[in-house]
Amino acid sequence: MRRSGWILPAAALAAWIAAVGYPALALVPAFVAAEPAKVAARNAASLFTTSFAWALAVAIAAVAVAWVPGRLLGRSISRRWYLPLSALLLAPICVPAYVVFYAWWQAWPAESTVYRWAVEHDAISMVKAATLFLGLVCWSWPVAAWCVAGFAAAVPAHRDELLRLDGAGPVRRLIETARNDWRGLALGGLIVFLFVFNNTTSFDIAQIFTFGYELRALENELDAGVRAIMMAAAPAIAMAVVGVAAIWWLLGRGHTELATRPAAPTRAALIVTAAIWLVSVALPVVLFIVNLTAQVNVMTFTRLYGRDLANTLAIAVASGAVTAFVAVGLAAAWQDRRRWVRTLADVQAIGWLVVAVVPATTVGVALEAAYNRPGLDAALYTTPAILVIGALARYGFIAALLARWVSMREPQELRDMRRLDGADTFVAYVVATWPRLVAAAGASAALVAVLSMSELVVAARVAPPGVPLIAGAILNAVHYQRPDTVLLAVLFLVGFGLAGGIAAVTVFAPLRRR
Amino acid sequence: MSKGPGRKNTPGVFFAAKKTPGVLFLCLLAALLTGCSSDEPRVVLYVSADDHVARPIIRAFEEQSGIRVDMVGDTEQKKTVGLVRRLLAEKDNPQADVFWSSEVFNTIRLADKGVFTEHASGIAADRPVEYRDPERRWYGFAARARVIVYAPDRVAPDDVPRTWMGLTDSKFRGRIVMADPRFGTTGGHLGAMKVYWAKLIGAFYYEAFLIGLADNEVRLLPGGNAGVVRAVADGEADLGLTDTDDVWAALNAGRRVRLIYPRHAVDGISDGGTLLIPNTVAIVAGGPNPAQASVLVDFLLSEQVERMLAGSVSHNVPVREAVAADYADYAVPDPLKVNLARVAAAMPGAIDTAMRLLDRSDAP
Repeated sequence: MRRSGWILPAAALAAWIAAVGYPALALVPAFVAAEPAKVAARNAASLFTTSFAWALAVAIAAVAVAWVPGRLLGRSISRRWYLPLSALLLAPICVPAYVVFYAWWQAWPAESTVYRWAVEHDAISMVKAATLFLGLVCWSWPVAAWCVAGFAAAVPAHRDELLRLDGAGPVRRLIETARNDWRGLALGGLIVFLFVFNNTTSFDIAQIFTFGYELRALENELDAGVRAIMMAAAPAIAMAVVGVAAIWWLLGRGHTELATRPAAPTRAALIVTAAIWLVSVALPVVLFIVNLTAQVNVMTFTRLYGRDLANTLAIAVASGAVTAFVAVGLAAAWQDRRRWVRTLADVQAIGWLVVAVVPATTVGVALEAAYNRPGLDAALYTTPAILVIGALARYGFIAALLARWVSMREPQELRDMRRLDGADTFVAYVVATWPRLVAAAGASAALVAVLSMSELVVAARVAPPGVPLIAGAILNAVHYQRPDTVLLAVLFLVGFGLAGGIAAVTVFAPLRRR
Repeated sequence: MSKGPGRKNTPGVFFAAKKTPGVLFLCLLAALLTGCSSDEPRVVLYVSADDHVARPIIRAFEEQSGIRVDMVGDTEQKKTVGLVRRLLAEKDNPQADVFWSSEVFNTIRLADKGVFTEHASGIAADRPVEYRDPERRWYGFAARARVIVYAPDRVAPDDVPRTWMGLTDSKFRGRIVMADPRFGTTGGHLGAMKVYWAKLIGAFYYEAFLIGLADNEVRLLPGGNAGVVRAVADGEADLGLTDTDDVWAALNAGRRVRLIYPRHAVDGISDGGTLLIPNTVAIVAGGPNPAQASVLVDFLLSEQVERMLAGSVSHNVPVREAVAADYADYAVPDPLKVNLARVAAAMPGAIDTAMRLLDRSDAP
């Protein structure tokens, strides 16, 4: 792609350099310069095992719960209820995982039967751990469901009909279904695993030490430099790299073109999905509200936290807007005839993925190493731009994944025809792929905007003066047992999340086959 | 490569048509990303005091002085040490003007590392000498106390330990929690124990205390001192080492917990009660707004702020005796007298020893 074709790929590359490349590079001199530190550290191997076991258990459960809803979502792509269903499956993701746990924990207050039983049997810690498991599964299964949906939408209706004609029994049908969906299940499981492994806050509130917590403790040691932190994080970084390699491999495999006539959703799947959603999303919210004893005062809340909400929304919008350019730029780069441009796009995508799944503490350390220096500080470090860069670093992978999805779905015939016609300019590409490109950009923007609102770890490290964010206020309210503040803040987040979810799904609407 | 469909014929793709909204959006984005600047006087405050306690005070300052406060807060998880680390990282590129810390020991450590500059505050002249840095780099105000929180349903009033060493009584085995000493005020308290007991009894006594806690299978928690109170209120433990403000917050939220002010020394030895930890305030060396920083520091050290903090949900103890008399319900009996600078110096070693003896992450 020539002429003006370089503009958006270059913009995507610039964003990548700002959020991934330069911070990673900035770690090198900081690592070399730092003296080896002697710091009080807990047993890293034991904590790694704890985090690994938790992440594995949650990932397995989330995938099991997500399978049926994911298939329903994928098969509903041409149905009227696709939009509300998608929005409902996006809403839980926009709430921080620790809030979902907190909502469940509030479900059995001090006077409840469950609580009394736990106290009498000295089982409070066990109940809390079980509640954390429940909360993490409730938060994470929609992520896995979306991964399954992408593959389920590629199954044509005639596959089901052929199986029925063959007289296939339930077991054979299950095997066939698993053979089709395993990539989506594996992808969802991997993503959930990596997210849960790096989750620290939920475990802190549940009073469980994790690998991520130890990294944070180390990060805050006055005598611990970049070297000590990165050395301690090395096992998690290595695991993230392996995980991303597996994700990349899964993304490149199998038939992923949307079916012209997808298999029809079943009534049973609809009922199961509704039940799962009601139990995992609606029930904790209802229980939380029912058990709320503190008086909720919206005016006081907005007076105290209105600025936080406005800042959060502004950062979300800016992060989403920049992400849209990243998605379009990467999609354009993958369509380029030159191999090095496509390879560069691959490198960027892998970089975005790795940064998303390494411990957030290391991302904060890298951003600080890159931008906390005279000269750069006035432009970036002391302004909200650093928060946008942080959000990009954490969630830019969404733009990469969606751009990849778009670029892989331009039919080869159309691509060849464009080239034969000599219509190989950037503008021609944009016109030819317009609906998909808009979909990728819009969905990336909406999803990143929604997710950035609950980002905490990186923001807490690099937040500029005068830009308080609502995620920090929620966490403090959880600690100080102010459920009224938590509830109102979460309702605002869910409202923004639903709006973002609906926006994301709406821009995808033109892609649905009718 | 030949030309494709001309740009002129392309329907409004991104930049091609309807430029005005796009330009407006880019301008808005640029304004957001670079921050909206104005000539309004401002001061940058890093504050580790609890968010809901600090905000009304900051608002009062803004209203009275006309100076805008750009604040960076801390989460309860990283309590204080997050901002301490940040101030140190920004030492060569200072962004903050004022540091309001909810404790004193890390402030002293930062002062010793050259992060703060001298400030001669006339308003601070009436506070006790232990709450002033001899080199005038920091000042203390509105203290909290270290306490034992306990569940009244599970610990009889007569069984509650009256001294910190009382926690090593075997009847409390498996019933005690404390915060990870690497965060918050717990580390400073351990440093104070080490210094005070070394002087009063002998260096062995601190380690004996920790061994006693280890024998009692004390559990370290990752949720800070607020997490300790939550654990006791939730029934995960019966007693915990924490701060007064976290207990007052729990009581305010209707949780069933009680507190006691344990002594470091036995009865009869004066100045041997529990530890008082003042808030501290300091001006950052090389900060961008030094004149406004002085105004803010003097405001935070004022009687008005001590009254606001004493009346807040955290019920801090005023360091001015005249003000403290008005809040007798929250007075701390016979507080510990210990050299805070020596405690700050002893703190890292005290934490190391505590982690070595109390950390049970290797336990099956």
